[in-house]
Amino acid sequence: MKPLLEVKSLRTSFFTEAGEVRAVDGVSFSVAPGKLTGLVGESGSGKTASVLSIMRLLPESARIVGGEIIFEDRNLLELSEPEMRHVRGAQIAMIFQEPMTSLNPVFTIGSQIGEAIRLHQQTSRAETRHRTIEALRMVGIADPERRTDDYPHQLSGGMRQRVMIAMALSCNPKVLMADEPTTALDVTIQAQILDLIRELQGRLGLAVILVTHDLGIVAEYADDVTILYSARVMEQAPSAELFRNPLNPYTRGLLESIPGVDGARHHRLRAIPGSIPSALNPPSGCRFHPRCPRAIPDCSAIDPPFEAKAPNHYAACIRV
Amino acid sequence: MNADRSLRAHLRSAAAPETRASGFTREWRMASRTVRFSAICLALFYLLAAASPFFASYDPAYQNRTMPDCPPMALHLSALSEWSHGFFYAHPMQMTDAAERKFTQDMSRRVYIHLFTRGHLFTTDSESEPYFMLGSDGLGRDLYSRIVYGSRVSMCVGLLGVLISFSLGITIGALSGYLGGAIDFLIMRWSEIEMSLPSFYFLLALAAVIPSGMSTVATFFMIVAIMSFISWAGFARIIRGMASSVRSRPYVEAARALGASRWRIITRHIIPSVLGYAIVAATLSIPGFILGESALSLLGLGIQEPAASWGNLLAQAQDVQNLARYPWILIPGIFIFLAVMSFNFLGDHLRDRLDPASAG
Repeated sequence: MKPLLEVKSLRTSFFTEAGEVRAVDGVSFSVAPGKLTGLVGESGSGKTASVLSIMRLLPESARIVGGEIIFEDRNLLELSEPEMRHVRGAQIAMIFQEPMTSLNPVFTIGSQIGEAIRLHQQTSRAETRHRTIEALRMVGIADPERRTDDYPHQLSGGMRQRVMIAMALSCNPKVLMADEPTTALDVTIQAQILDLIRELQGRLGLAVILVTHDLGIVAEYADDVTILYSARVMEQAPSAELFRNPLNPYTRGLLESIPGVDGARHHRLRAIPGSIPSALNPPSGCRFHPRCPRAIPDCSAIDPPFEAKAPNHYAACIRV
Repeated sequence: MNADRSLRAHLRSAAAPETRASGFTREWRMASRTVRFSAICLALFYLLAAASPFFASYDPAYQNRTMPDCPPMALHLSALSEWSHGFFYAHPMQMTDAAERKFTQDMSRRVYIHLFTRGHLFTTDSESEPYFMLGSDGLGRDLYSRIVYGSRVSMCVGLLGVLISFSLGITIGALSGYLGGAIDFLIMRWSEIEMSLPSFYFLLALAAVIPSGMSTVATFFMIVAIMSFISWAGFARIIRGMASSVRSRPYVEAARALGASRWRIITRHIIPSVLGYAIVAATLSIPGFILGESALSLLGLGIQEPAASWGNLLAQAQDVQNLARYPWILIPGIFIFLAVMSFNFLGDHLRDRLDPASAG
């Protein structure tokens, strides 16, 4: 299927006093309607910067320095700010990590969802209220007619995240980007929210980009997975393929470091030695080579090309 | 002690049978006696200002040349048989010593006071035989009537001044805080310059250039404009700080992700979030305007005679001789005191209610 949103060798840098920090360095991925792409990586690997680049909502110190973001045959990076405002919310919506603070405490949730609707559409007061209630019903809020007049503090964390999803979807966007939507929630609520996102993705034909550091979530929900490490893509494949046959040593390291319930009991959990390199001064060659168990001298010299190692399965590693 | 009282008030309201009392009733019950008294005072003063011609007994500019510096007159209740003349009467004052301005009461005669007559709350048959409830000034004008009319200036200067300086402060502060960068820098340096000016002398200098031929209304607006111009800066700086912290809140980011414009974020998220503070600060800064106008008028730079303001009424009390001989000319000061204290108590109360974190 033709992808709806395609990110092509995106490069985003933060310009700090210490110098240029490459937060996203040639990242490519895409997402098709009705599919869920998982964007996985450690803190500082460039997941959030990639997503914010798509929205063009980067902080002032950051700039997109290269690449293309193609959405419906248009390069979002070439749009003017007013044109971009019509894309945000109406075409591409986003939900954030902290449902507790992503709602304005001084307005009712209904008025905030209504505001989101009226940002992009001219609707009457009654029509807005009706659509607000429908949006709340769609995300599984019980008794939406009454709940719409509640303030955020009257709702639990899970309900607030549902409200955020309702708000994001209130203008029928085609792409939903969720930046660690469940990190602040407990595990049972996490599953409910993700099930909800998956259900809406299927029902509305949404293209979803799910940013997470949790491989378990990706295995369960994602159709395609992109593994990021130190601003670069390490591996990209359909989810089932990636978990069955991880190619990149980094991906393998990640999978091995997941505690299992069926493994040998008295073994130490395996971890990847070392820590993520400084983005200011990344290692030469493959970014992962100082920590890689299979590194050879060439790894520090050659920038590994990102290429197909199997059908639909891409990786950046000269050792596979 | 205070906490104890508010706790009791809380328990009382919680135990009250009508759990869904209206907002005002509930607030009234929770307020302390001081706050209630303040609210009543202010309501009364604004009523005086709104209906001055009704509450005043006489034209505030009418000079009774035979009765300058007349002391307050005692009020007597009429005997039942005389009620057709008036419920109350006073004995007229007769000036016996023009140099010393000594008055004696003519006990043989009575001036009847009529209620709700000729559009006044209470007045006498004619201005030539007046009843001076709070005495008269050096020109024989009724001090009470002048205080009533003076409330218009003194009570409105605060409201209008705060309205102007706070709308300026909120707009400028919110823009500065949200936009940041060069605009922020320029606005903040400008406000620093303005704040470093010694404000009262600056006020004096500006007031001194008001042309003397201006009408009272024009002078009033000039004074308000000058005081607002001086006082927006400090307020804008606080709003700016709050705005720049709200700016990075996740809900602002979420609004941007939904496609909200800057203008929308400022009006919809930044301003509402600083409004609670603004209301409190506004209430607490009204006394400054009232005192500022009083000070200017006291020095003769504000509202000019024959128009009355509480400040220029007090101007006569500057002379110790006058004050010793005619102590009633200090009465406008009591009104200023009450108004200022009431706004302060009310402001403190609003702060406790709207911003519980700062209570203490």
